[in-house]
Amino acid sequence: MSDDALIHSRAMAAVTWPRDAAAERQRARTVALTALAVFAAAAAFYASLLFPGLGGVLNPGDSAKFQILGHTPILVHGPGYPLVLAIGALVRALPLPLPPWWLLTFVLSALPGAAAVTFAFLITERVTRSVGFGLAAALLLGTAGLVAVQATEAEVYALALAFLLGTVFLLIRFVETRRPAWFLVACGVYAVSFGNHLMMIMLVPLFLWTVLVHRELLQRRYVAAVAALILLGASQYLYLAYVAYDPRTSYSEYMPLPPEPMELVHYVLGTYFSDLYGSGFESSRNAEALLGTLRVAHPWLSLPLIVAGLALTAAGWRRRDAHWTALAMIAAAGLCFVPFVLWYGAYDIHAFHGPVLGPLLIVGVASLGWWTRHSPRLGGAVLVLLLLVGAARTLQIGALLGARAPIYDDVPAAVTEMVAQAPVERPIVAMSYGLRMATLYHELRGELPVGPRYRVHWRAIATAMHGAPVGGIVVPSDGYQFVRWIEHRRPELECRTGKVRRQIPTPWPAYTFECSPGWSVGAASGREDLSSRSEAAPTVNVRAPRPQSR
Amino acid sequence: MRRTAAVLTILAVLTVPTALLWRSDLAIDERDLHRLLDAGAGTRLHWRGEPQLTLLPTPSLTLRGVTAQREPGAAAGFHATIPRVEIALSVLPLLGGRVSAEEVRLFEPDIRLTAGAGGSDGPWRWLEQAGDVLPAALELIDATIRFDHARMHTVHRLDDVDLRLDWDRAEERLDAAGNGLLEDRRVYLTGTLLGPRQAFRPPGARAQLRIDGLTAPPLQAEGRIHLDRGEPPRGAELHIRDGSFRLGGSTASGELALSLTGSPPRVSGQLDFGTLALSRWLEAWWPDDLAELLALPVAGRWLRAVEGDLTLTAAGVDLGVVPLNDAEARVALEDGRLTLTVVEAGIADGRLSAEVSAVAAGEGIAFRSAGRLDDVALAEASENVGGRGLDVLVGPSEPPDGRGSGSFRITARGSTVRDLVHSLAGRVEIDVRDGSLYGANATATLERLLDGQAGIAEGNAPFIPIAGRTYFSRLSARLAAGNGTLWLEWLRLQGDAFEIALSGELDLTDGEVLARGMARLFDTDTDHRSSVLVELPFGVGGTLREPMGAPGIPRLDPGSDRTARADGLDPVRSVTRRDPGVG
Repeated sequence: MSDDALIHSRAMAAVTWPRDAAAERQRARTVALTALAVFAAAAAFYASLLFPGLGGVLNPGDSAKFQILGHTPILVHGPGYPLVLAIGALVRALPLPLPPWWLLTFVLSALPGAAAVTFAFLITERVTRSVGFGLAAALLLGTAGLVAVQATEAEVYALALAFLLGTVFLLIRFVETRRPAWFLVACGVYAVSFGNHLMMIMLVPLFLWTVLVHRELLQRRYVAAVAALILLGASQYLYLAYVAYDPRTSYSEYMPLPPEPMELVHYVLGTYFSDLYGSGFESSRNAEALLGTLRVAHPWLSLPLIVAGLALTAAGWRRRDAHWTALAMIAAAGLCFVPFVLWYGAYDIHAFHGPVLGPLLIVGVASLGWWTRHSPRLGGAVLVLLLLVGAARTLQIGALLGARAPIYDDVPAAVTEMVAQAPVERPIVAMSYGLRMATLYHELRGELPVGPRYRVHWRAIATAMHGAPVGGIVVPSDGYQFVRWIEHRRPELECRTGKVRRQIPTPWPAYTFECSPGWSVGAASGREDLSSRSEAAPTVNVRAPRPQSR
Repeated sequence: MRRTAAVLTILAVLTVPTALLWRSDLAIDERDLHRLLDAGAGTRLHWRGEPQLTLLPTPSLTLRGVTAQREPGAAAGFHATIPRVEIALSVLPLLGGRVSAEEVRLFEPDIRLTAGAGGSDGPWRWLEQAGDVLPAALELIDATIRFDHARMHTVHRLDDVDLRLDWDRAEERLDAAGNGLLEDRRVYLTGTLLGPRQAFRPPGARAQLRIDGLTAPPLQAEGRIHLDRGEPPRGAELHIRDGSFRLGGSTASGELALSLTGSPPRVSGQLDFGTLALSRWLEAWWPDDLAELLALPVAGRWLRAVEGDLTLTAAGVDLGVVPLNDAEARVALEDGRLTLTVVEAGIADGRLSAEVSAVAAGEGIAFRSAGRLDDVALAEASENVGGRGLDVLVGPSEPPDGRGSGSFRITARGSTVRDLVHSLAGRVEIDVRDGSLYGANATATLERLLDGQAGIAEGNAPFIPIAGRTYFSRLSARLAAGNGTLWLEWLRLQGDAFEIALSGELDLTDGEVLARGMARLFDTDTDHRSSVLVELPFGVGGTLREPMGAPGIPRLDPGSDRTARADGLDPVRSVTRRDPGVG
């Protein structure tokens, strides 16, 4: 008997066990009901622990930006995330009396997070034929630090993890049953996932392996169906184009609206971030960050569990059956993303680790269940231990998530207070990225003074290219680089700065600036002499004047 | 048999009250009563009116308006006013006409203890003799105890005190259990003293003490207490020998001597700690809110309340952030000056030596400290830094790497933590070799500028440094503090192909940051550091909690400008008027 035939016969033996069809149906019902309960519990857990307000701890600016979709259509950063835009449209259409930021976060992250946890249950249950081990995997995935954060903050990564685990589950079902419908559904889910995040491209090798092992999928009708599904996935970007040219779209972070067609193409291809491609290989940072994520997911447990899971999976090769194949597929899915997270030099690289962490945690639990399947006592002991750890971790992670404090609570009042001190009538308000996105949330709801031109720093300089005088607010202070840029780009102007007085306590010190032609240094204009910044090293006990810039 | 027992019991039950009623004409001899109570209190008691005797159901004596006073001048004076005293009397002596106390209960006593300056051994004699006359139990109910310290000009008070002392004369065992409110904090005390009279001769009496509530982990101590009457001028001393102390995760053994009759009291001795877990103390004491922390008072009066010298050694000191090992320190407190000398301690694979002194200054304290760190491993030192928020949830930031040395000389004074922060003055110097910093890759970032790939301020995209690690050969910095500001006088970071210089200030009042720097990339193919390929000025603003970095105008190939090269790395030299050379 050839290896393939042997595997196939083992697989068939496994999937037809237990032979009693009624018992199998009963079991399927139990699994389905448990899966529903897992989904409901996870959704409730995450919903009760959503980040309290705009932003989050992982990437406050991006989260605040996605939350804007809860009340206003905008274009976010490249490559555009058309599925997320569609989710935003759905949220806006829901007539629910909930704050837009909350509802968007719930739909975009909490529900997909709960779906990912449910797929962890389903996958592990398939591998181990144990509802208990499925629950343990769901608990450990759902309370893993990164997963829990991403499921409670408005970002695309919980959805990416749900797509990944959903796709792998469907592929496992195909490998178990050899029914092409499962494969086609997997392809469909996979294609839609590209509307959320393009890093899903890293899963292609798993599809290629599946097709190579199951050559029957190369029949023309399946190829045609897959091609159609790919087109379906790609068509989401038509929706992106529609949003880009829709006059109701209120804001675009990078592209002018409506964009030139080629600009839209560059936007979708993500060329703005091409500098980061490959830069992860230039130091050990990305590898250190990945190990850190795997280690901290469950302190003392997750990294050893993952290492043990991979080792047990490899060691199971000689005893492989259909369930082992499923185990290997999950491990492969996680490992598929490792090159990407090592290669991509993003600052928030931790955020991209979900597709590695999620599958590998499942491998850790499922491999234990698979290896102990013939030793009920040992398996039971391991299961009880994992469930206890999961329960304790649920309490702990709940406390940690609940301890997150709002970061953009006072934005409307603080910005209004600052703008009132602007030295010109239509000020430029140059802001850091996170603060700008929180401001935009309120600006598009009409909660901020109209007239000021709110910009992120790098966009604000272009705004100062015309007219004189130009002036406004820089928040938070930036070491006076912004006014230097204005003076550099417009040498006919000289800039004066002053400190913004704040009554509302925020961690964003700010300064005012006003650039006009022909300010004379130290002129008796009643303004501060801005040339008096002492450049000498300060001496102890003598406070230099508050620095000014010119 | 059973019948006999029942009959005897009934007889007993009937006989005792009958006997008591027979003695209902009993008159208490006040001299007898004074003999009993004055000896127990160690001083003459006064009370209002006649003692009230009650025979049934159990014989007891009630005194009202009791006052007791022992003048200061001895080791400690005291003054007590007690609205009501109930004394449970022993039946058999009473039947014989004698008064013998079984249990004394003091209701709502107000007791004031005063630290004295004299050298009289009167109190010691009382302590030695009290065992013969003490009742089996003494109970304070809803008491107020105040401790006046003349030199500190302070009154510490314990309110709502319930305390019970049980004295087993046969076993010579004194047990204490009770609780009270100390500045709104309820403190629980349990203790045992075996053979109190042994305390007057070596090796002393065995004692155990446990105090809950005063510190987050309870204080537990046991050892031998020896009271040495001593001779003037040293006066009496309390010695704790073979002592062992446990406080949270800290354990110590050693000897302490407390001179009680001197003024101020004096502590001396030697303690050897296994692990000194200061982090648990700090966590318990550290307020959650920064404003609350800054408002904490720092009183200097206590520095004059006690004098002494202690030698402390510790195999490990857990400070929460960076542990110390093999530490040896001396604490001296003389004339109101506290000096802590860390003779030597291991820290992060390096060594620490330091001296901290504190003296009372007005209502507060004036601190002065100086010390140095040698050959410290940065990765090890910063291992526990962070550990909150994102680090705990998602993944830790990797620590910096390298080996560093440094020195510091800092002074501060004030009566609150805020005052201390605002008055910080001094200098810190740091020198780190062959390390790396997690986050951005300086060389790759500057090379990207050279390639013209970074459209800084072109409005297309933000300038984002390349993520990675920056490897450096040397990092040196000097900080100065003064007038509520921490100045970064200069910081230089030097690598194979780059140099970064930074200077600026941190406002210690609100955490506001303002700094400016210059990053330079050198052509490594030519003579090192003589050919600058690109310069990038940058600024840092925002706050320490949320710093904000911003790029300035970069200059490409400034090597043609000989002046620029000769200027070295002055971070505040403006290049804004030069052509940036980037598109």
